[in-house]
Amino acid sequence: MLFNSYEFIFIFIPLVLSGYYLSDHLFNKTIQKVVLVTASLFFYGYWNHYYLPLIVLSVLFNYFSAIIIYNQKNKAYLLFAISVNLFSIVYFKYANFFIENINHAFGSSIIFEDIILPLAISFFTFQQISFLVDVYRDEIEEIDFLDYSLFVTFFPQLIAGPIVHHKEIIPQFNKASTPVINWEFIAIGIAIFCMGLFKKVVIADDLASNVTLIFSNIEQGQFVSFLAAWSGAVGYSFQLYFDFSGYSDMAFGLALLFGVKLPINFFSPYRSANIIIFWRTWHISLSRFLRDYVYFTLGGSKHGPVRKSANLMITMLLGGLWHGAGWAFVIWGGIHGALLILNNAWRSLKKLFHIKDSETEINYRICQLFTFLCVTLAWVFFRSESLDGALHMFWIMFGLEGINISHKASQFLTYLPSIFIASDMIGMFEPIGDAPTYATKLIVLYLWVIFLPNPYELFKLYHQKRLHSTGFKFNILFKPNAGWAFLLAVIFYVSISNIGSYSEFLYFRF
Amino acid sequence: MKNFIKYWFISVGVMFFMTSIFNVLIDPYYIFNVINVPGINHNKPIQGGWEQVHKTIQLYRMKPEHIILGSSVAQYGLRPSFARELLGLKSYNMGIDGPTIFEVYKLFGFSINNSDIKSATLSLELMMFNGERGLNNSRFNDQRMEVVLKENSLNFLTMKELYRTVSSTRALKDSFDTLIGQYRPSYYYDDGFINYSLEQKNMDLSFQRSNSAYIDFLKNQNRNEKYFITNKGVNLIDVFKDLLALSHQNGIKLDILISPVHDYFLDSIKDKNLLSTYDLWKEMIVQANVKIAAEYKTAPYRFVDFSEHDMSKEVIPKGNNAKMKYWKDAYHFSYNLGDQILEELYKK
Repeated sequence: MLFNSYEFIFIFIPLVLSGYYLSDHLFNKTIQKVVLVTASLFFYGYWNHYYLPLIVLSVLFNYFSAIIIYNQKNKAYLLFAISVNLFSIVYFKYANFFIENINHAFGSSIIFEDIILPLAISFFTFQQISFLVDVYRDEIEEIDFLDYSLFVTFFPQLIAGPIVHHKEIIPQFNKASTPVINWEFIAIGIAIFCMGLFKKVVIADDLASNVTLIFSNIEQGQFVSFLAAWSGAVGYSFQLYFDFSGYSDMAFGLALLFGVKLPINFFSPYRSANIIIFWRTWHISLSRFLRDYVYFTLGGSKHGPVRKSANLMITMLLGGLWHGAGWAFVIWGGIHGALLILNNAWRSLKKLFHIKDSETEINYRICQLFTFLCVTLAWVFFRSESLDGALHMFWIMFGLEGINISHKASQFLTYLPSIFIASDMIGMFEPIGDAPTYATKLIVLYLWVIFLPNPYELFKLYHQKRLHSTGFKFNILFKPNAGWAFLLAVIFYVSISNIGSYSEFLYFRF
Repeated sequence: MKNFIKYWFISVGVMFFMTSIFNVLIDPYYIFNVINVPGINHNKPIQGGWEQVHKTIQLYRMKPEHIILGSSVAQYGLRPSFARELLGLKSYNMGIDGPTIFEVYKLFGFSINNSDIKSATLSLELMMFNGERGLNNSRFNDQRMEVVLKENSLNFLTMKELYRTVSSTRALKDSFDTLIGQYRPSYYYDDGFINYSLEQKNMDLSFQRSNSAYIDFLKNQNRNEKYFITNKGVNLIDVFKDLLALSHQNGIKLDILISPVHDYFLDSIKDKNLLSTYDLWKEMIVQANVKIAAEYKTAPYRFVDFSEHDMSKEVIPKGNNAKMKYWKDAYHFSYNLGDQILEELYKK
């Protein structure tokens, strides 16, 4: 079931919310949790019930493993349990990738069955690994089966994160809150859910058609102009942004309806003026997981700059591989690793030579734009169906297949190199149909992500470690009045009208 | 905060109610027909895209005796008004955009259940038999096609369709567009034929674009017999046989034609190594027709292959304003050619 579906919004959520609050009112917190776990499993099984046993088995295995680790503090068993988790993810997600590469390298023809990737396996597996490590590190006080099941399956965060820690979620369920229904949370939850739904169905899904057209034309070797290639790459950058930001907002809003505040997972990353800040604001919970459980485990920055850079690169390569079984994802991770290393090196140089950052507005905006461009170029690997496709896209974007310019402009560029080709409007933007509208949309979206506050700023909810609200220009704050209610109702109404036939979130496939 | 939630629910409710009333009255897709005021909502310029709802209702209203079945090619090219002149039967164009043969079969069944069909013209294309497209395209609700309509009944609309056509903001936008677009004619004539004006700008580019779009419809990793089998193992040639059987059972006079395609498109078929599949497909259509007729102990339906019509060679002009007489793009022919086809079909 998708958050952006009529079944979910008009049937599932009202029923589960009623069941959740009534069960606490009529019975007790235990029944309330049972209701929520059952609903979450139904939510998961609605997609493909064949994989329901997988998540149930995974929960059971990790629960009993946690008990053993808790009682015995046995490192060998911890490693065994982590290996079992990793094996399941490798089997479902990476087996075909490895076999394909073995076949390619050794000329063999090993055939492996086509396996459908179980929804959310990367998310719930990582969450459970972090739990096992936390148990081993004595960071968990008590392990209760129902609490643990709820921690793993809680549906707002089950499918695409955030990857949460046990201590961030379960105490909130166990809190004996009075009054039982937190109306403030529900009001803000509705508001943030509406905003997320709008981002997903009105903006991201709208961008998808041109982005798909351009990337599939590239794959098929059909003509794509210089400007179309750029607008395809930038369009995907925004599609992914609004898709994932929309999902994260919806997850946050939904959890609030149940009285739970999830950690913020997405905090205006395109406002970042460098790549380090970008990774503190994009998919925050994954960055945190990679930092805490991979980067620090490798030694972090303890052993000098060379080792630190190597650790950073390994972490980002693994981060790339986490997103998908393909070399394009590995390269994407590698690019970000290299950018992070460069960013760190630049910081060290500045420190060494006492160079001070220019604090002018223009300098800050240029840095923002430059970071955005770097991220956008890296997304090309993320989006392309093949490595060849990604390279072909770059080829066009860097003008190596010619740059179509208007006839008028060509008159002024007589003495310029022959890469400039005089063309009409259609040729300049081929294969995009309504190029001016599309280009305007992209500019407006850039201004939006740079200058407007995000929902967490709007509701003053960003009291989270390492998050700083900076850079937006219009200091708007939410007020619980009729005007805001009407505005959010309009946003909701427009969004549900735009719900398409089936539009999966991009992060569902990771 | 409780007040905020109350205002939010009231706002959503009021919007829902007002939008629904407005959309039902303006009726941009010509479904409800509550009021019909010239200059306000008489013309329906943007009703395209809802043909599976609109056309089924319009068929029920009109009760034709002859229908034209097929894809957008039939919608653009075969005029029911001309068929009526030739056959003397009230005719309706039941073509829809990009259907599979299963969808055509279901629409045929619906037409039989909800009208008094005596004769039908079936315009076939290879795209309808592409197994990789499955039985249904995403817009189609085949269960609705089982419905026998009753007077003033909307029992064929699913909840989602009802919402989309009545309460959505998209319908609201279409209602406003209908209101301010009254100077334009309706998208469909009352007989289901598309009221299009040939937008002939840069035919060369238009051919390229339509050709690559249509070739996409033909994409299938399998060739020859396997081409017609869906991933659920349904052979679309068998669905075609079901359609023929349905026609025989109901005593309908069916005429089958293979749609003409421009040479430009035929060259693409060759380039894509699809020619043998294309020829095999035509052969299988003929065999199915003969086989089902034998089962019903009657003569096969008339079958005419227009795929290599003389007009398929019409030269594609260069330049921005050059026009073509017989073609709209690489696979949509104009009614100039459509009229010739109907004439040839019904005079043979």
